[in-house]
Amino acid sequence: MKVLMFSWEYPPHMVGGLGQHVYDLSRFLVHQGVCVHIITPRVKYYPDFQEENGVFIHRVGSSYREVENFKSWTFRFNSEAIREAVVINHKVGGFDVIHAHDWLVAYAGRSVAKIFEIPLVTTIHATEHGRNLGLHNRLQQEINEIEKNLALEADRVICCSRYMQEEISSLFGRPLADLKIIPNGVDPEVFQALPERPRFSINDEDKVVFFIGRLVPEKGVCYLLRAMPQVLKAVPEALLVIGGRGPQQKELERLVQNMDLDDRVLFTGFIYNEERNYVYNKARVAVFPSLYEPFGIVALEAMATHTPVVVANAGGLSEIVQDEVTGLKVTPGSEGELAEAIIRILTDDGLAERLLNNATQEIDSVYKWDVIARSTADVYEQVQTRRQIGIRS
Amino acid sequence: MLVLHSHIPYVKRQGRWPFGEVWLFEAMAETYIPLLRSLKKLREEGINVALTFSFSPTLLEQLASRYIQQEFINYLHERETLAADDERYFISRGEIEQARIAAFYHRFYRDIRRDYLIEMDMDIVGCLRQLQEEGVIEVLTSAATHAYLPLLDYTSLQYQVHWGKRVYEHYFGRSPEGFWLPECGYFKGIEDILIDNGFRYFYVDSHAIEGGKPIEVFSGEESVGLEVETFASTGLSTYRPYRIEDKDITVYGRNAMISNQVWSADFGYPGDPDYREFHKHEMRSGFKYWKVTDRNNPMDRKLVYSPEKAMVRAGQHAHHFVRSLEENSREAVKLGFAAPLIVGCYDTELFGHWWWEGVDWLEEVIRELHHSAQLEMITANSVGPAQHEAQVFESSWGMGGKHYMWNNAETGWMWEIIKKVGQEYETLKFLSYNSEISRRTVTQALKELMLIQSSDWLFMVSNNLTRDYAMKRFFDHYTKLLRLSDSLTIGQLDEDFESWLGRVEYEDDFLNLRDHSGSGGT
Repeated sequence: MKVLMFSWEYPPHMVGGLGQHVYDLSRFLVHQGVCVHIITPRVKYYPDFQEENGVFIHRVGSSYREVENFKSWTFRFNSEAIREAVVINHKVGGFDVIHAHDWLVAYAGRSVAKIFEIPLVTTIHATEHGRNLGLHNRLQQEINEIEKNLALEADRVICCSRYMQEEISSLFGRPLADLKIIPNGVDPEVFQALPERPRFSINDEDKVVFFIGRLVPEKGVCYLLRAMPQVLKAVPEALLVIGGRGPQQKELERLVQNMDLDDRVLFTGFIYNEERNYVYNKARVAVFPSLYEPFGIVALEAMATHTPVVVANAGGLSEIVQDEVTGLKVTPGSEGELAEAIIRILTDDGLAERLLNNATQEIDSVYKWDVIARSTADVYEQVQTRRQIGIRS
Repeated sequence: MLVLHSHIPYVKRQGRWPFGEVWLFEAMAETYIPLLRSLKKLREEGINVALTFSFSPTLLEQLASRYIQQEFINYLHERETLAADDERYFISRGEIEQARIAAFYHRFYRDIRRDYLIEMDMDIVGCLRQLQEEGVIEVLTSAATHAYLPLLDYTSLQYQVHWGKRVYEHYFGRSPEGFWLPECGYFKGIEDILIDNGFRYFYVDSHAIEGGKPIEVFSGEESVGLEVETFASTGLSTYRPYRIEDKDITVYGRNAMISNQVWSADFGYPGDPDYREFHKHEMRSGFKYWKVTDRNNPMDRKLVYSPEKAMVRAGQHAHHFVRSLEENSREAVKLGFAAPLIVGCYDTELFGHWWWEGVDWLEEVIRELHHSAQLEMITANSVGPAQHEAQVFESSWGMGGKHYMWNNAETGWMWEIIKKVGQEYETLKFLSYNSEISRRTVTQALKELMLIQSSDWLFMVSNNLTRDYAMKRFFDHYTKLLRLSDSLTIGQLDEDFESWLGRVEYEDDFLNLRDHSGSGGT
């Protein structure tokens, strides 16, 4: 089985969670005996061709710079990706499956699959409609259109949660049966490494409440900030660490100043993996108050680091966490419920312990990458067989 | 001089509905066939007609294709059935006015089918050829895939012009004399390629000759970054043709006044309250039952259309148009033009397809022109050599007067690709000498190259209309070209490749000039 993946992100080019996903999926697919080639944008100082963990990585086009016209850059990348695909397709003796991750590589995926008559699988990690809670301008409508045509043209669509399955089906009109749910995975090993010298330090007496993610409104960080005064009243040693950066950062920092929380809230800015592990080591609870979350990989990661979680009952998060069993769930946007749940975990060690044990079991049975890679390889085999007997769903 | 430019991109076997072949079928049913019918009627009345048509090669090839001809018959059957369904539906709801219009559509498509099968023998191109031989019309050719020429590289320009000529010769049995520059896109230098290919004249927009502000022919979504260029006034006039300075070729300039009268969204005829509203249609069938009413009214406040009233308006507008032409020409005479030439250039599909009553209007205009003591219709092939010389501005008839509609922030990346594959083809074409299959591969590569160059993809992306269809077509032809080129370069022309090549030749069988019976293609 030979698969060609198109992905906008691949380490070290990481913007959201996509790069990590494609990285893990591809190396575990190799364990399943799948031959994986990935076409992804060039990164400065990285080779155009590289074999890593048995995965063949092809970097093409210009490296992404934020100043450029993003759409033009994307389409130019697609054209270069097609060029590369044409060449490696004959070198490997023809791919069996094309796998396109998200709209950014939609045209490369669609055209190569069509012209080379190879089945197309796509993973829709999130939708433009969901990310923006609606479509509010021309660009968003265009992206929505591209996502829709990708979802409709693919032989099979993979999504990460029941929530996303329903969203894709209702937005684009593809029957639920064509949309295969394969959850994202987590690899506990990657949370082991610690930094030699973190850029910030946390005192042992601080009871760390940890949020990590992009600072955008859909992540709901402002509700967490507004819950903090109540938390501090009950647990004065509580310290909120906000890991990550994003367009909302300035606004959130102002909010902290206005609430006079400066000494109990720490913004790390961009956070390296080792630093993240360092915080998780100290953290007593991880909180993800998202309004929209296709999957909620962060909650899984927290569970993998043995940190109890509080999550908003939204999207994929609500499917990952079983309330009172593997974590605590609150109503999205409710500061009061957030505060209560955080206080319960910080003050009730028995509860924290119970949640952790259950979470660890769940991780080992459902969210392991080898399980996920096996399901993905199954999808590849199904589309290939269907093509051979002449069915196109 | 009335010049009607007809073009549909190559949509054959590239999607049917909502995007693709249906565009062609609509133009055939609503524009080309009704227009040909009008011309026949006028001839039978003994009216002099001298109309200029340009037909893009992509359109000619599709009209001549057996596949399209058969599918078009199916399309007409579908329309008839849907109209009959609509009629029953409206009757059941007691909506008698709409039911009458549905019955009208039913007859319309039935008659079109009859005319197409019986009068035309499914051969629109043949009808054009015959009309040209009888001197009723003059047919021009255009760029092979309607590429936007001012921004194309030199060798691609040559292919576009050369194949435009070849396709024309194939279908009309003679060499074309006039060339329609797609979108009136002109740059200094294109005339040399036209001259090399034996062309004697071409057409440009009015500001290309007179200077000043370009006519706004296109009123789409507001575009950010549009540069409307003001061209220096030259003191020249479109009332006469000019010889391009030091060159042996004539240029005709479009008359701004009479273009606006028909085109303008604000005060052109098609916006009349009694005319059929283009943008509102019955959801189930797609048929249109409403009139413009008030251009500023939202779609839910349109009144029911009355064909009879609209016909009366079309007659009045035709009368008004011819009077304006007479007025215009009197003014020109006062300015010292002894025999002023008034050139009106329009997209053919405006008449019938966009402006439903446009065909009737045009028919009546031709009738009135015949009776006018002052005016006479003329085609360029009967005009003598130009007495005056001029230089022409780089220009187009698109928004802003220059290249903006096809070259802007949205399409810059497409031009990079167009340029790159054009250069690559130049290397590729020398690899073709060793076998039949390699020759086929290079031939197909040229077709894909030219299909990538269609101005339509750029326009749709700029204009955000059917954008995904355009992007997909652009990328698909690009991928086909790369696969052809890669296989040829590495010499992997095995059985698998050959069977794939066969499928691509079938899908993009554009420029298949093997069959010389006059209606080639499959």
